[in-house]
Amino acid sequence: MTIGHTLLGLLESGPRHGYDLKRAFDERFGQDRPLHYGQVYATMARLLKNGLVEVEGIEAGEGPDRKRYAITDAGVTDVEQWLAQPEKPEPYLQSALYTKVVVALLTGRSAQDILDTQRSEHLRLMRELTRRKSGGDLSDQLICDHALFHLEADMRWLELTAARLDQLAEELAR
Amino acid sequence: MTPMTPTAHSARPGRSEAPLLAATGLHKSYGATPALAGADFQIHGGEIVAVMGPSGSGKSTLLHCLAGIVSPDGGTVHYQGRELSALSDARRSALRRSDFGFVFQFGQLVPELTCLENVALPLRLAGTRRRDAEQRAAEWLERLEVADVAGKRPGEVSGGQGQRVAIARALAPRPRVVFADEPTGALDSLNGERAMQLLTAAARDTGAAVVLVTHEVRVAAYSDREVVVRDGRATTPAAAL
Amino acid sequence: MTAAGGTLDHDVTTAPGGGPADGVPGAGDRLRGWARDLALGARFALTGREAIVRTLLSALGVGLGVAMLLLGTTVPGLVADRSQRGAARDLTYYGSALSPGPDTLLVGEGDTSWHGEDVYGRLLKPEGPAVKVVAGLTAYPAPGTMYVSPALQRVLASPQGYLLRDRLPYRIVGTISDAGLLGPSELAYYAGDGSLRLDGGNSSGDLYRTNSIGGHYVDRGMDPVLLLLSVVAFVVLLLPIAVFVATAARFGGERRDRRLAALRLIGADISGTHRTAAGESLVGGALGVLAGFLFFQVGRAVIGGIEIAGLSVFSHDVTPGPGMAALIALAVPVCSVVVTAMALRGVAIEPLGVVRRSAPVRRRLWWRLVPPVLGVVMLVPALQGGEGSSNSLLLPTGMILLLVGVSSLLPWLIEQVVARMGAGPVPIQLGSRRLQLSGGTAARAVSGVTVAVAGAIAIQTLFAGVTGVYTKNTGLDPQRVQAQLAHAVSGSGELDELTDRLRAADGVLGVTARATSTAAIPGAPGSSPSNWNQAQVDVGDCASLESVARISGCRPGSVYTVGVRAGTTLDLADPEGDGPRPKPRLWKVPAGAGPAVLIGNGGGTISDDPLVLATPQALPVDRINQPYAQLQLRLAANDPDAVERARNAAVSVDPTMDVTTIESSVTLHSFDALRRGVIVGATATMVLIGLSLAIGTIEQLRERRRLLAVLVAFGTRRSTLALSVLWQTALPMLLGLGLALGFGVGLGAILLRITRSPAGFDWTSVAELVGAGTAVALLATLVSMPALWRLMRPEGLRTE
Ligand SMILES: Nc1ncnc2c1ncn2[C@@H]1O[C@H](COP(=O)(O)OP(=O)(O)OP(=O)(O)O)[C@@H](O)[C@H]1O
Ligand SMILES: [Mg+2]
Repeated sequence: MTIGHTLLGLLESGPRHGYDLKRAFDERFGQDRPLHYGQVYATMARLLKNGLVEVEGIEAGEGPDRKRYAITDAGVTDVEQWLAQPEKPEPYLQSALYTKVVVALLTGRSAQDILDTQRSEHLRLMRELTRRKSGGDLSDQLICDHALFHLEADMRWLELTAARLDQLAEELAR
Repeated sequence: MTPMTPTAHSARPGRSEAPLLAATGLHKSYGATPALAGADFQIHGGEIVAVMGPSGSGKSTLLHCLAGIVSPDGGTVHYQGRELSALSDARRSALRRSDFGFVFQFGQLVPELTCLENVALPLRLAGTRRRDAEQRAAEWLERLEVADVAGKRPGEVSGGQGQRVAIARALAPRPRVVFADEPTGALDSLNGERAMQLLTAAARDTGAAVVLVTHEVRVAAYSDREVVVRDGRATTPAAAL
Repeated sequence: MTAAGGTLDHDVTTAPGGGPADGVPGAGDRLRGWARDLALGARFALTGREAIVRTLLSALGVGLGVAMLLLGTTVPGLVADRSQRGAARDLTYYGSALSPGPDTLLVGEGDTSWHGEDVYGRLLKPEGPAVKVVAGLTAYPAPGTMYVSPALQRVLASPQGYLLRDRLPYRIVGTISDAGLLGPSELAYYAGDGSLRLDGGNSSGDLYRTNSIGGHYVDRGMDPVLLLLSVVAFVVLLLPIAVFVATAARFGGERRDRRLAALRLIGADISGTHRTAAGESLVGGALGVLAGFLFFQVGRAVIGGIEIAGLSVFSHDVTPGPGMAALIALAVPVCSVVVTAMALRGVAIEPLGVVRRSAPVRRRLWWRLVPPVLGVVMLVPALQGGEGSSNSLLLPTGMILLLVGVSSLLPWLIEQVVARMGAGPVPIQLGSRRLQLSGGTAARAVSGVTVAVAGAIAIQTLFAGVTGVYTKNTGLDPQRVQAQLAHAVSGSGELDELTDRLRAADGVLGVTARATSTAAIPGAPGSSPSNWNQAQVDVGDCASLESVARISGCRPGSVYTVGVRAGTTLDLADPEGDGPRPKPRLWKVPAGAGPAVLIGNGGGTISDDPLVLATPQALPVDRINQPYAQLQLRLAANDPDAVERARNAAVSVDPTMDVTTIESSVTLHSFDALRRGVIVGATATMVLIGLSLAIGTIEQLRERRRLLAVLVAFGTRRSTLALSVLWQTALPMLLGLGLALGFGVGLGAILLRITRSPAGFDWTSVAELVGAGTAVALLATLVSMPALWRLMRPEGLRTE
């Protein structure tokens, strides 16, 4: 899971309280899904156990957790390793859409309709993201673009498949 | 074809009105090659419609028919209730000067004229005095963030700048319909996106309808709805509505 | 690396031509490579309809140039041949008086005219058996018979020739061969005349004894003015062709450059592409040379049939020197390659498209002023020296430089004017802006027209001025007198007979006759007669005297004087001249002689000597010494045969007499031929250039197909684009014509000064030429219109 690495990365600039960490995370990366506080708590506990962070001090106060965390040298090394390691490309070999198309063809239903419907759905989402992008700041744009490019890839697949439906039907019939 | 239904999108003019531009049953062949085989199309004022489809499916031909540049072999095109093919060539030209704007993929700016003069050109063709035309052209260049290239010739500006100049030229006469055929085809994605943003924003501001021919989905995503052309027929996917 | 250690490497890497280090290609390989490059270029020149049209047009231009050059090289030989023929038939005798002998020939000059054309005629009477036969004849004609030139035979045989038949009442016994003729259309005859008789040893101008047959012909040469005109005409016709050849070599430059860029992309090196380009223009040049020789052959055949400057030329005389012909055949293609090389100099052909290094360079004025200024400087000596110095090479060179100046100044002028434009209506804006970017191409195309018009205007101006001189020179008012006859007469009997016969001729309305002579005014007794003053004596009736001088109260018996006091005694037997001194025949000017004032130059024959005008009642014709008849004829205006009848009447009195018309001199006819030649030539050049202009425009339009379609999409009117094309062609043309007008008139004025002619501009001709230039511009636009219409279709929107 990358949340642990992300939180470690946020700690590199200086020690923080757990609540601060959650706010900083949400602000930068949590547009769609803000972190639960419990998630932060559990993650920090794991990091502490692994010696990647240490508790710098506990302050008196009302909050549920007033521990101030700081990153250890091992933690810095861990962030470095994480950043240096490339992400594994998604193979995308399990496609629900492909399955639907084949089933439609096997059952004599219109695969073209399925593709068209999917296409419209994709475009609807893309439109929305585009609109959001147009109103948003740079981070909004980058995040939306990431999604848009992925959706675009799907769209290309849809188009390509639509163009080869006849061929596919023939092959299945054999 | 499926009748129009309002999209989820914000305040568009009421859909109960008659469409601004409507084509029914368009046929057009080049020799033995059928480019259009019964295409239907409608667009309302202020609407942005993406025309998509595979290469050679007849998108450009549809656009040319809609704009009255090409006369269809069969079918009709109505603009504001008037049938285009009933008009003389001169009247159609006049209509294109006053009501339509065009953006193409490339090679559309007059190479000898400066960018400013290029933008002023359609205004001047429609009879605006030079001073006024160039002032308005300057405003549009400003708006498309290319005021600095006003005095340069098209050969001296980048593709993205040139395309923005072309968009400014299409919009400067405040047309009611802008026809854009692959307007971002020659641009990288960043420049293409920016050009599309500026085009759609300006079109929404001026209330112009846009017929946007593209095969890039991300460009089509700037539209309100899309029409897919396949084998010379245009379909509006029902699920999108 | 030390110098010693690195010698080998060093040498290899800096080998001349930067050849690859892995072995220099052998000479054979290189030659084959060259041949391949050239052949590739040649293929380019001949594939595709446009390429072929372009090549043919180049060939046409080069061909015309070559033909003109070849023609030019024949001129010296032509002149030499002519004078040789002239010498071979010359009979003039320049010695002391001969007495009849076995080898002497009596010659009467029977020259006459036939409707404005000179007829060379000699009346012959061999006085012995040993007379050499003159060139062109096989034997001397027996009395009453004649040999005629083929041209004269045709005239005599024609129905209109009956008047000439009457004048030459001899039986035709043969034709004069080419060796005895100056040109194929020369009218000439040799007639045997047994009645020729020479009293004493004295020859007169029209009748003389000779033993010099085919001797010393002193070539009068071409009239210097005519020579100047020919030089101007030649330059004027040749220069635009040279300009055209230069432009033709650059036809379709942009397209060619792109093709060469494509070659570079597949790996040709720069010199290889240049060779390919050279190969391409070489085809046009070579075809042009072939066409040139062909044109020349055709032209030679045609020339045999026409007369220029009153001269006709035998086809077989029109032969260029073989050396010159070879030189032309080699030099012209080389020139077309050089022009191409020059054009490519400013262009870097890169694999990805073409980079023009020299595109937006601002044209500088100073070096463009060099040719015209130099030209004027070279004309200065001619200006000071008069027409005599027109033979020098300076004059044509100066003219060429001045005319070249037009084409060197034009691009600069166009740039200056166009830089200030672009604000006008849309068509003008489009056209002007286009010119701002590529004015050079337009200027090149137009400069040919400009040079042609400038030269033609100059020559027209010169014609106008010179024509004026030639009509004024006769000093007679053609309104009052239309023809004249001047000839020695034996006395009053012959004079009266001549007058009567002329009066009787049909179409002759009136004749005034005078007999003129000279007399001596004896000086102090004992003084030598050779120191005595001379006076001219004119005897005629009152009407004839009044035609030369203002006199009052003339009656039969009246006498008038100019510069002679009444009462002076004259010796009518002019004591001057050779031979024994004649007995004095004294005559006293009557006391009542009145004063006279000469009109004009008094008929062109009266000198500055003192003059006595006498009626025959005061001084009979028979008393004066060697009377010389001066007759002036009034002719019916609308009867072209009147003068021919008058000639017949005169010849019937004496076959050596000739009547000359006053208003139409032969020289004027030749001017007219030259003048027309120049106009036709200039127009042909302009049409040729207009064609190239149209092709250039069409090519340009085709390259802008997509843009045109976009403009149509925008709702641009066709007329707007048509007007912009017109403007784009017409503006350079108008500027060029303006420049041409200035230079042409200026050069014309200079030429007029050189020939000492009064300034007079033939504005109609100037307007004609400028109009022709404008028409060519319009036509070029018009020709390109169908292409514009065709290209303004939405198909152009499709991406290629
Ligand atoms: N002027 C023409 N002459 C001949 N055929 C033509 C012409 N214009 C179009 N076509 C044909 O008509 C068909 C449709 O062409 P069109 O240009 O409308 O396609 P398109 O959808 O715009 O393709 P693309 O996405 O590649 O631009 C094609 O098969 C094309 O070959
Ligand atoms: Mg298209």
